[in-house]
Amino acid sequence: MFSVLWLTAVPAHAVRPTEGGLFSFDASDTIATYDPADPRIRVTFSSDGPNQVPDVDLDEDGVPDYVQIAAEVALEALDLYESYGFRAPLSEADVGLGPLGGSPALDLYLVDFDRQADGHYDVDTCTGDPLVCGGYLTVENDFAGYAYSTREEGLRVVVPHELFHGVQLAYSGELPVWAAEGTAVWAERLYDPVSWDFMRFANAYLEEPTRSVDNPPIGAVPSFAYGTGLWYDFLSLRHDPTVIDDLLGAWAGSPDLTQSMIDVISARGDTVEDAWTGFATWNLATGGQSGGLEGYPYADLLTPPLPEQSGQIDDDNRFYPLATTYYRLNHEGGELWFALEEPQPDLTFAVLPTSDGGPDSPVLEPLTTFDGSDAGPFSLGDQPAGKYWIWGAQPRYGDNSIKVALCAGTAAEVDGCFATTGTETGDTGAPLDGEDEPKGCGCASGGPAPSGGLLLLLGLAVSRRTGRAAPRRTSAA
Amino acid sequence: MKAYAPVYHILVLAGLGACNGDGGKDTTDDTDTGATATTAVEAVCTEPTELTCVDEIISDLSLHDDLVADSAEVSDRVAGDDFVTTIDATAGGFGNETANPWVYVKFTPEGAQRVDIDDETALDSMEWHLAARRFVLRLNGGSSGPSCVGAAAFIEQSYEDLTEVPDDVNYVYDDFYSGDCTLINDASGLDGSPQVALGPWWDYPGCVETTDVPFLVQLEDGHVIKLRVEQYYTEQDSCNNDGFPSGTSGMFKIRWTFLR
Repeated sequence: MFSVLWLTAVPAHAVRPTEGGLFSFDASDTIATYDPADPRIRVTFSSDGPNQVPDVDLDEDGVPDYVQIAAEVALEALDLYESYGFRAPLSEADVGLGPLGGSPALDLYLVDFDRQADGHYDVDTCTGDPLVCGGYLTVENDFAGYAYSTREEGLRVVVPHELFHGVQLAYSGELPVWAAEGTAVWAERLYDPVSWDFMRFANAYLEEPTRSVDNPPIGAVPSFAYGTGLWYDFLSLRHDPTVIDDLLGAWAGSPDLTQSMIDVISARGDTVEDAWTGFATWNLATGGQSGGLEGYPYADLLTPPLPEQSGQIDDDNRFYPLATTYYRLNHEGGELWFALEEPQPDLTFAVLPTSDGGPDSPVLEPLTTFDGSDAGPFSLGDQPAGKYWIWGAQPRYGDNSIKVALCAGTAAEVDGCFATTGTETGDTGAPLDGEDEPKGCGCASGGPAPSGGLLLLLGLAVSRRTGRAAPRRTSAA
Repeated sequence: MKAYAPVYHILVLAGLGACNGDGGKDTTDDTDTGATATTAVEAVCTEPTELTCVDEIISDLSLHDDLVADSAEVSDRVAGDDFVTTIDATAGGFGNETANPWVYVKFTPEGAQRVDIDDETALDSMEWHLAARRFVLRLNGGSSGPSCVGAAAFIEQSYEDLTEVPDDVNYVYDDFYSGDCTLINDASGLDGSPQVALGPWWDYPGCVETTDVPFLVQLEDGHVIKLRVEQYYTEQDSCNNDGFPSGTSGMFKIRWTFLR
């Protein structure tokens, strides 16, 4: 579902669909209203004309079933949001504009979007500090030609989504797209735990996990921004759904929404670093790679992120804040080594095996998670042959990306990385001044015979490891 | 052709940084380039300038370090004194552009040549003049690149009437970052439309309409081409005349020739 959220300033009030505008009723439409017993919602629709709703009326009560379902879904969603403590959307009456829709109720209009969108939430006016806004929602009149399997499904996706924009506007009229659309997509799954629209957008996020969660690509309708709903759902599962209410409250009037989000996580006794570490791992355990560790209850419905590199890992990468880069390593067995070109303490890495060593089989709990304060090379222990995943992330607030080369694989493979550095540190095999010749080799028996250069690397690693209070050997080592 | 809104274009240009070059260290002669005039030109710059908002441009414009648009069509046909260059900037089609690289083009006396480099390498390279992806045309200068390729829009003139380089042309660079590297959109009202020097080639009355505004584009070596974007959709007339997009979008046709 793509919706459009207009948050621009309006004069007295936005033009209602009964008055004109881009998506509006036609002069030839026969416009009617439906007021359910619950007075919170009024539905305005066309019973005849270009914007006509389906006229099916199985209960023969004189009101098209489509209209009644729209009202039912809206009321269900309002109840649901209220049950988690969210503020109710503000109607025009709540912001002092009088009954623009003919009643004090929140107005839901059903008009033809002609497949250009399927709904949006419009602002009548905003008031206060922080700014809150009253408005109305408009939803597709029949979903003809849309991808939804049924009209009712369309309503069950779009109405809760657009209503949640109304909820947001009761907190703040100034949310950026990654916050507004992300949490609105999150609300879709709150309403429908297996919402395919949520899954679809979550996959859009998983297509580009290397991008900061708070920095969608430029463009009018970036799916990524909607897909950040996965991050909010992760937070919701990690804590509870009221964390989103906390977020909306913290975002209201905030000059720095990312920092406010981190503060909310901290107030829950969590840290953004820990949360992001979990998020990065859960995102990997999706689709066919799910089932080997704790993850999303719907993990099998998602599509795992693609690796930045497969096979041997030798990459120069830019790690953005609150973003993750994935690698898939083909390890031939024996001691597994990891190295950075230079220390990067603000980066975190994790190495995860797969259940049967297959390329797309379920990932298991990380062998190890470590920060990049030590560039290594260092051993991750003697590991059986198979496929491994490595992810790297800058799991915190940051103004800039961190660009660094990394390498993982066997001793021989790691020895071939960072050619320039290797030369500087004695790639010919000659030890550096002041360094001892390696006295022994920490490499696993049966592993490849290390080259002269690697011997030096190993020597450095071993000597450093000796002095380390808490060696970062993996738990499986 | 539908009229464009001059006010909008003036606003676009008003926010762009003016070119000042680095004093022109080298002098070349047009006879080496195939240009029609014989006036000696001075290089605007000879060394790349380090960009200030690298992190942001990589993220905002979805630049790639591992993809090269080396299969994108960049082809010329000669039409009188002009080249008409086709550039396939479809980038996988609408909604897929962030997963695809930009197409880099160099203007030469022999025609437009595709430069096969990845996006991040392009941030350090003076080898390209124009980068295209979907409806955005960047020039290698200002916010976009390390060179000093700038443009001047001539909204009151036609391409045909622009026969020589006027005195005191104020070339402007792409200028889509503020001092704190916040993205500056152009005046089109479309999100994600960075303020670039060639922005006035299009208008958006519901589809990407070509305005036929001619530009002078000053290359880093001091040579100047005139340029007009004639096509974005393969069926451009549908948008320009009827207001509906039709055909494949992102398939540029650009008419250009050396003026100096």
